[in-house]
Amino acid sequence: MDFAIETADLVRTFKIKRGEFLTAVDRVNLQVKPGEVFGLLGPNGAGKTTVIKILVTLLYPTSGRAFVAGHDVVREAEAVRPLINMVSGGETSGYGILNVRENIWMFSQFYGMPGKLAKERIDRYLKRFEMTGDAATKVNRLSTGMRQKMNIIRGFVTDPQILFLDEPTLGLDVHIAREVRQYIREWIAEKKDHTILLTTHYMAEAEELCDRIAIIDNGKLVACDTPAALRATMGEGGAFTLTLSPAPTDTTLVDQIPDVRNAYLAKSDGRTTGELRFTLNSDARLPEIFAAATQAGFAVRGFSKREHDLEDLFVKIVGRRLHEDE
Amino acid sequence: MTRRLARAIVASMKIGWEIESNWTNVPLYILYEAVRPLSLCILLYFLYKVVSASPGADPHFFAIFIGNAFFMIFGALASGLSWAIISDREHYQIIRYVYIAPAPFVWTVIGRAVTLLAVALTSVLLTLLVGRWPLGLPISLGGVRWGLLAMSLPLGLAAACGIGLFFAGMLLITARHSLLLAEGVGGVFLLLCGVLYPTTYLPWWLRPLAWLNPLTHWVEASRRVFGVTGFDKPLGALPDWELLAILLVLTVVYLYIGWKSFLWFEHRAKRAGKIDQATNY
Repeated sequence: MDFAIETADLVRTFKIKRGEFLTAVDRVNLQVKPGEVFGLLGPNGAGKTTVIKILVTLLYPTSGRAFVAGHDVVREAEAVRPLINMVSGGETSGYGILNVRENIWMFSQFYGMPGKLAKERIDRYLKRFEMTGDAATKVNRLSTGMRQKMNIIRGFVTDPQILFLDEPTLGLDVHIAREVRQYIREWIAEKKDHTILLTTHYMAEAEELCDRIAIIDNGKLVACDTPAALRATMGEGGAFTLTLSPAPTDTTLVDQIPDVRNAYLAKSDGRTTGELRFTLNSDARLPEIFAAATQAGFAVRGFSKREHDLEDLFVKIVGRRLHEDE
Repeated sequence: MTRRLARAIVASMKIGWEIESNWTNVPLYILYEAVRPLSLCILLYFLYKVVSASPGADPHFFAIFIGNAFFMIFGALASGLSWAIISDREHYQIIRYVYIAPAPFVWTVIGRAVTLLAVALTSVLLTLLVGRWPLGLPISLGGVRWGLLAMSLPLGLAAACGIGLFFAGMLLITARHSLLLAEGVGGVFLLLCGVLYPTTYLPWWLRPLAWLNPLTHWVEASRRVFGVTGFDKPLGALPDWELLAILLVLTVVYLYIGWKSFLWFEHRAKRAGKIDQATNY
C-alpha cells in the first residue's frame, strides 16, 4: 500500500432543486502517506466534510475514485470499514440514555472487539481523558465538551489504522481543545503506521498537528504541502499592523503602494486611532508606506509585524480570510 | 466474521432494550407493556359482546382473539425496524457512526428490533393468559399444537421482518414522518390479513392480495395452533402441510424482497447523501 488515502479526480455534486446542482467536491486529488497527519483546511462549505464522508463510505462520489488503505471506498466498503473510524466535532451525537462507558462499549462491539480488550481500552482512555469519574454518567447529562471527549474516545478505542477527524475541536473550550490536540500528537507518535486525516478551519490547529496540509475552497484543492513549505511560498514579508491617528476610513493610503495586498481596517475607536492591516512580500516597501501616511496627515501611533502564517497564505490563494463567513 | 456479527447484534439488542425500557423502573415498564395488549383484548371483547351474548363461548371470537394477539408481533417488529432508523438518525444523531462500523448496517437494525419482538411475544403471552382466565376462552397448554407453533412462528416472524425491512429501508431516503406511512401500512395489513374477519369478506379483487400475503397464512396457522379451524373457509380447507408450504414460499419471497429492498434503499440513500441527513423543519 503506497498511500493510506488516495483520491483521483474525486467529484461530488448535490442536486439543490430541479436542474440545479452544487459541486461540493471538484476533481480533488489527494495522496496521504501512511503515518501522516494530513490536514484538510478550508472555510465552512469548502467541501471538507463531503470528502470525509466519501472516504468513510457514507456517501458515493459522483465521479472519480477514492481509496482507503488501498481499498476502493465504493466497491470495497466492507474492507474499508474495519480499518477506519471517524469523529466529528460540533455535534451532540450519542445514545443519551446510555452512560459514557456503555456508549463507548457499544461501538467497540460494532467493531467486533473482544469484551476483555474493549474493557481494558475503555478504562485506559477514560483515565487518559480524565473521564473515569464520568463513566457512569448518562450521556444526556454531559456538557458539550465532555460529550465530545467521549466521542473522541469512541474514535480512538477501536485503534483504527486510519482515523478521520472532522473538525474535532469545534465548539470546545480552550482547555479541552488543547487536551484533544495533545492526545492526537501522542497517538500518532505512538502508532507510527497509523494515519489521521484532519479537517479544520483553525489555522493554528492545522499548523500544530499536520505533517502536510491541503487547502480546499469551493470544492477545489488549491494548495498542498508541508506547513513550512506553504508558508515559504509567501516570501520574506509578513502581516503588518499600522496604528494611525486619526482613524483611517478606508485603505486608500496603502492601496497605492505596489506589493501591498489584502489591506483592511481592523480596529478603530471611531475618532482618535484606527488599525490598518496589510501584507507585504518584503519589508523594503515600509519606508514608502510610512511616508505616505505622514503625507496624508496621519500620525503613526503604533506598528507591528507578524511573520506569514497559513491564514495569510489562505488569503493569498483564495482571496478572502478563512473566517470571513462566520 | 460470525463472532463479530454476533457481538454487533447483541450490542444492538442492548441499545434497543435500553431505548425501550430505561425511562422507568422494571415493574412500571412491565405494567406499561401489559396495559396496551390487555386494553385491546378487553375492547375487542366488549365490541364482540354487542353482537354476541357470550363472546367467550363463540368460536368466531376465539379466532379473532388469537389472530389479533399474534398480529401484534407483526406490528412490533415492523415498526421496531423503522424506529431503529429514525431514532438513530433523528434523535441520537449517531447513525453515521453505526453505519461506518464494520457490522453490516442491516443486521444492527434487525438487532434493534429484536427487543421489541421479545416485548411483543411477552404481550402475546399475557393476552393469551387474559383470554384464558377472565374471558374464559378455551386455551390450555395441553391443547396447543406445539409442533405447528414451532414451524409457523419462525416463518411468521421472518415474513414480518421482510415487510418491516422494506419500510425501514424506505425511511433511509425519506423524512421522519414516513414512519407514519409505515404505521399506516400496518393498518392496511390488518385489514387484508383476515385478522378480524375472514378474507372472504373482502371484495373479490382484494382477496388475491390477502392470499398472497404470508401474514394471512401465518394468522391462520396460529389459529390452528390453538385448535381454531373453519374461521376462514378457503384457508381452512388447506391441510396443515399445504398451509405451511404456502407460508414458507411466501415468507421466502417477502424476506428476499424486503432484504433486497433495504439494500437498494441504502444504496439510493448513499448516492443521495441521505444516510445521516436528519429531517430539519
